[in-house]
Amino acid sequence: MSGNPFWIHDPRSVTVCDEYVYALIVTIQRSHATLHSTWVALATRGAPLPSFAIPPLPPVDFGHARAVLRESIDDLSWLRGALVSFAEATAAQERARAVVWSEPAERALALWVAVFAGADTEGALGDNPVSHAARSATDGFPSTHHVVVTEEPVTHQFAVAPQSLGDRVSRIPAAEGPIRIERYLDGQGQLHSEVYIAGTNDWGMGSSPDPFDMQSNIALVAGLSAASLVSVQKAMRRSGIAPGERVTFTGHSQGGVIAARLAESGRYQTTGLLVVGAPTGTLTIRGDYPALALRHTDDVVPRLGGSDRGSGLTTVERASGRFPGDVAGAHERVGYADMAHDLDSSPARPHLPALPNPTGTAQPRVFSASRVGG
Amino acid sequence: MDDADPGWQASQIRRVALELEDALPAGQWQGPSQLECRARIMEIRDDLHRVARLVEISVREVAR
Repeated sequence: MSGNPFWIHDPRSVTVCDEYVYALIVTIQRSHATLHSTWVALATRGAPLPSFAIPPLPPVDFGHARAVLRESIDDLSWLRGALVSFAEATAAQERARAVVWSEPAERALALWVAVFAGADTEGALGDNPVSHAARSATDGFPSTHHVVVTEEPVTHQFAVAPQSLGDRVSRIPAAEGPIRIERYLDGQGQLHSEVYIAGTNDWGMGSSPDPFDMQSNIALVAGLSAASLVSVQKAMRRSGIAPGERVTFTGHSQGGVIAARLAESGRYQTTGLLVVGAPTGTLTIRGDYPALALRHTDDVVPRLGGSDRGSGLTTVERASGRFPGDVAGAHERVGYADMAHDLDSSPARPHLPALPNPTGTAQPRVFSASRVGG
Repeated sequence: MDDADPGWQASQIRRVALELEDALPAGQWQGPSQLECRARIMEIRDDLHRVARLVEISVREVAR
């Protein structure tokens, strides 16, 4: 057990707890159900048989065993109640903290940006101030994006299908070729694609040819189209991914927002979503697929997306282990790969949303992208 | 698997007892009183093994 446990935010049960408490709650719930069925089964085993039936064995009296079992079931119920109350109280504390600190801060920021940009200030008082602030800042951003994607030569051989969170996060590419696509054919002849998307590479506002820049970041948080988003869509088309095909998306930082936008687009049959260090707060994940977000508590980038708004993402957090103030280090992709590997061996892992485990091998394809023309 | 077989039910109870024990973290956690929780789980585990044994003995006694 490390000094930096995982904290799990489960949107289904509205609880927040550390990985060990989470695993224990789920185990107790499952055990409770099994023991209750056993308790019922033992009662029917002792029940009198119809007069015409020939019993295989004489009736057995499990009365005492059932009484002790009932006590154990009651004890488990009590224990589960105590642990869930703790996790609910932690979730309530977190909501209260968001109401007192995060939301007013988001509104102040949104107001400041709106005044600065000469935009209306009403949206800053609405229910998604960060998105409003981002929209205020997008005045003058292009509404259409002209990008070209180029397939990069890949030196590595065939990839084995990813089987874990660590496998997926490790495959998020470097900034030079920010889009990686793998296509697997399963035993039933069905195609399954894995799309990995890197984060922001250029901190300019559309001034460089790199579409993975700050302008795209702001546009994505505002809910608008972005050059980086268009680049990934183009790369997917170039790889032969058709609408309605099964796709699992994995993305880091800005790549995580793109992954979430594509997962929610309805264009593909999304089979899973994994985002790391991504500012997805303005997005709502509604799809019926496993969705998981990993965040370092000291990474400021996920906070830039504002507070989560009814997101269906199960969020796992822990401290990055970097020195205080090492903002860049806390956001690094490599650190998130370590976190994902550690989470794979956590007792909570079997109880978290299960991303698909495709089979076979695939030739990875890596794409770079650049803006062209207007 | 036979739901009506008390022997199978006893093995289910033993399996749950082992799962509960395995779910206990080895060291510190950030939750409600870990010591009390551990003690409770251990008590429940022992009780479940006792129940499984009671069921097995009852079945053996009748079969004899």
